[in-house]
Amino acid sequence: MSKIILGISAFYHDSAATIIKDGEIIAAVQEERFTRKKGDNSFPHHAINYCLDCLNITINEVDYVVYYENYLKKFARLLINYHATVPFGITSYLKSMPKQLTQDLFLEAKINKELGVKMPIIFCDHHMAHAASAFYPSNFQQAAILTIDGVGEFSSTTIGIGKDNQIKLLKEITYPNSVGLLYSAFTYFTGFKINSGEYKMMGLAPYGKPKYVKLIKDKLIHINEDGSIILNQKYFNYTKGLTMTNRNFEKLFNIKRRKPETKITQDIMDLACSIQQVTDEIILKMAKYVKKITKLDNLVLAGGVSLNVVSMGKLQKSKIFKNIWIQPAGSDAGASLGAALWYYYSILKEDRTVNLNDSMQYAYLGPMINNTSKLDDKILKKFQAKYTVYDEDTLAKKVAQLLNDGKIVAIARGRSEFGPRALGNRSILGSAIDENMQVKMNLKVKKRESFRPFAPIVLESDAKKYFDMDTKSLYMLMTYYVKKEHRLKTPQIKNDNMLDIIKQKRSIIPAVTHIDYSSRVQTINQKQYKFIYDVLKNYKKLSGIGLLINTSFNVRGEPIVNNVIDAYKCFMNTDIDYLVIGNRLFKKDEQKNYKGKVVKFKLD
Amino acid sequence: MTNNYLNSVNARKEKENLKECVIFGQTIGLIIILVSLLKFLTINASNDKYIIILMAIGLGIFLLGLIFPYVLYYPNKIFKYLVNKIFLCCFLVILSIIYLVLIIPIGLFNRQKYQKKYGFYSWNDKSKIKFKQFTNKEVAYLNVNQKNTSINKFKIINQVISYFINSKEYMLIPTILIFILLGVIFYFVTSSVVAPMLYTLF
Repeated sequence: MSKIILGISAFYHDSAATIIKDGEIIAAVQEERFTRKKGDNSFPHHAINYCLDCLNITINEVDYVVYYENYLKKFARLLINYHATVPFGITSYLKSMPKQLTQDLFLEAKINKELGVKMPIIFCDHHMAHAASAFYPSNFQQAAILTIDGVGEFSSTTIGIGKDNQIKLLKEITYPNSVGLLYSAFTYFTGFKINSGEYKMMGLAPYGKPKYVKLIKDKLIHINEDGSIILNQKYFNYTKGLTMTNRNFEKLFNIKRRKPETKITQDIMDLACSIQQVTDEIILKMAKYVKKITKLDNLVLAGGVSLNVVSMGKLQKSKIFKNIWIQPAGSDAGASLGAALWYYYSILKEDRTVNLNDSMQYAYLGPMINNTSKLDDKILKKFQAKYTVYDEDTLAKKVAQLLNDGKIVAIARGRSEFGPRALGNRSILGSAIDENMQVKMNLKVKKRESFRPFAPIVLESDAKKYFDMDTKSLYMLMTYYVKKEHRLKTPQIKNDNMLDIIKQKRSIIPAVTHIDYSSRVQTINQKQYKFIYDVLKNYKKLSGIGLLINTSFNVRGEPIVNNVIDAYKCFMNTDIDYLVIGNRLFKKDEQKNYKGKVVKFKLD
Repeated sequence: MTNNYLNSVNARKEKENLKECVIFGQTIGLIIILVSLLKFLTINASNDKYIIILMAIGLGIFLLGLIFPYVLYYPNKIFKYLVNKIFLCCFLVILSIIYLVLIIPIGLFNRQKYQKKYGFYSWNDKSKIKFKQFTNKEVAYLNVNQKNTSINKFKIINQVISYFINSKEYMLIPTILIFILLGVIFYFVTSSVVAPMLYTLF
C-alpha cells in the first residue's frame, strides 16, 4: 500500500507544504506564491490544497502529517533564554509568551483544527528536517551533512552523516551562538530586512573593503578551530530584546545603524564585506572539521546560511569535499520537504534508491502553467490581452531573436520552482552583453536597489568557457568567477557614486559580472529544461554567446509569480518588453486595453 | 485545480462564523433581557417604557441571532476583538507578575548555570573564557510512533513535564505548570463559545 506523507512548515517565516508518495516528491510549494505576501508565515492552506490536488486526494487520505520542528523543545529554549537573561529579557518575554502559551503549546490541536482532521501530528527536529532535505534528495549513497541556520529548537548548526536511508546528527552548536543570527544581526544593522535582506547584504559586500574583519574577530566573535563560534552577547540584543544589536555594537564600529531605504555609505559596504569574509572563514573551518570527523568525500548542506552563494562558492573551490550538494530550498520552506522525507526513510525505514537524475526534479515542484489551456485563455481574455501562439520550437527562436535585439522577455511556463531561485520557469531573461542592462533591469523592471547583481543562465557546455568552474550548477547556489581572459580593465573611479561603479564594463558579459568578477551561475542542459535550452542555443547562434541574464519574475517585495494572472499583472506593471505564458507571446505595445490595478508590494 | 481542500476549509470557517454569530446573538440578547427584567422588578414604574424598549432590543438581538445570524457578523467581530484585547492586557499583567515572582529569582539563582550550560557568553578584553566547541547533538521528536499516540489536546501537560524532568531542569517545572494553566485558561477564554459570556464580567 502506498504511503502518502504531508510535510508542513509554518508560523515562523516562509510557510510551505510538501507531499511525497512512496518517497517520491510529488509537489512542494511555498504559501507566499498563492497569497502574494512575501515570506508569508500563515498556515499553508493554499500550498496544501495544491499538494493534495496533485495526487487528487483529500486530506483524509494522507497517511502522515509531519511538522518541521519540535515545538516543545523550542518552548524549552525560549524559557531557558528568559531565565538566562533576567531581568533584561522582559520585553521579548512579554512579546512572545502570549503566542507561545495560547498557540504554540497547543500546536497539535491547532494543526488538526486547520486541517480539519483528527490525527496525531508528528513533530520532527528542525535541523533533522534540514538534514533530511539535503541528504535524501541528493544523489549520494553516503554523505556528510552540515546544516547551518539561524536557530531551530536549541541548535544553530549541526553536523551529521547520512547513509542509505538513515541520518545521524552527531554534533551541534547551540543558540545563542549562531552563524545565521550573526549574519542577520549585520543585515539588520546595515538597514535590510531580516530573512530577506541577507541576499542584499551579500550582494553589497563586494563594494566594500574588509576593514572590520579584525575588529569582528577580536571583540564580537570567537571562532574555534573546528568552526564553532561563540558570540559576545555584550554586543547583541536578540536574546533579550526586540532588536538584533544594541548600542555597544554601534559604539564598537563607531557607525550608526543604517535606516532602511537611506543612502548606503562606504562604512556600510565595508561592514557587509567584513562579515561576508568572516562567514566564509567560519564555513571553511566547519567544513574542514566535518571532513575530519566524517572522513567522507561527499557533503550535503541545508539551512538558511547554505544559501549564502559566496561562501558556498568558496567552499566548492576549496576542494575540502570532492562533491557538494546543496538543497535549493535551503531555508525553512525546504524543511517541509525534509520533514516528510525524514519520516519516510528514517522512521518508516523504507528503502532508499539513489536517483541519479535528480530526485528534486530540478526544483520544478510547484504549480503548473500549461503550454495551452482553455482556462488560461479565458482568464487572459478577461484582461483583453493580445498574444500570438507559436509552437515550442518557433517560440524559442522568436524569444532568442527578441533577446538578441536587446528586449527583456519574461517567461511563465511549466511548474514553478521550489525555493528562492527562479530557474527558467518563472524568470525574466535579458541580454548579458548589454552594459546598461543591470541598471535598466534593477530600476525599471525589478524596481529594486541598483547595486544588486544579476545571475546568468548559461549552456552547460559553455559554462567553463566563461567561468572558473569545473562542475555543473543546476540551482544557482554558488558563485564562480569570470575567467581572466574575459575580464576588462576598468579605470579607477574617484567619486563614491555607486551607479558609476555599477555602470563600469568589467567583462564581455557585464550585466552578470559583479564588481569582484563573481557570478551566481546556473547551467542548463537539454534534459533539464528543453525550452530554455533551445532559447539559449538559438541566442548563441545570433549573438555568439550562450548566456543570458536570468532573474526571478517578480518586482521588489513581490513573491515570484505563480499563475497566469500574476504573470500578466507583473508584466503590465513593469518595463518588461515581451512575455511568454505557455506557448503564447505577448508584446507590451499591443496590450493597450489593460486597466488592471497597479499592485504595490510592501518593500522587503 | 479542484480546490476541494480549500473549499472545505472555507466551508468550515463559514460554519464556525455562523455558530459564533448565533451564540453571540443569543448570549447578548439573553443578558439584555435578564438585565431589563431585573431592573423591571427592582425600580419604580416611571422608567418602565425604557425597560420595555431595552427588553425589546434584547429580544430582537436574540431573535436576530436565531433567524439572521449573519447580521451580527461585524458586531461579533468587534466584540471578539475587544475580548481578546482585554484578556491580552490581563494576560500581560499576569505574565509580568510571573516574571517578577518566579523567573527573576530562579533566573538569578541559576544564572551562571544557564549561561554556561547554554552558551550565553559576554566578555571583555581582560576576561578569558574557555570557549565551548561543537557538542554532541541530542535529537528529540514527538509522536513518532503515530499508532500509539492519542489525540488529546492536553497531552502537552504530560509531554512538557516529562521533557523537563528528562532534561533535568526541575527548577523550571513550577513555572511551566503555571504557564500551561494560563495557556489553557486563555485558550478557553478566547474560544468563540465562552468569549461573549465572559466579556460581560468586565
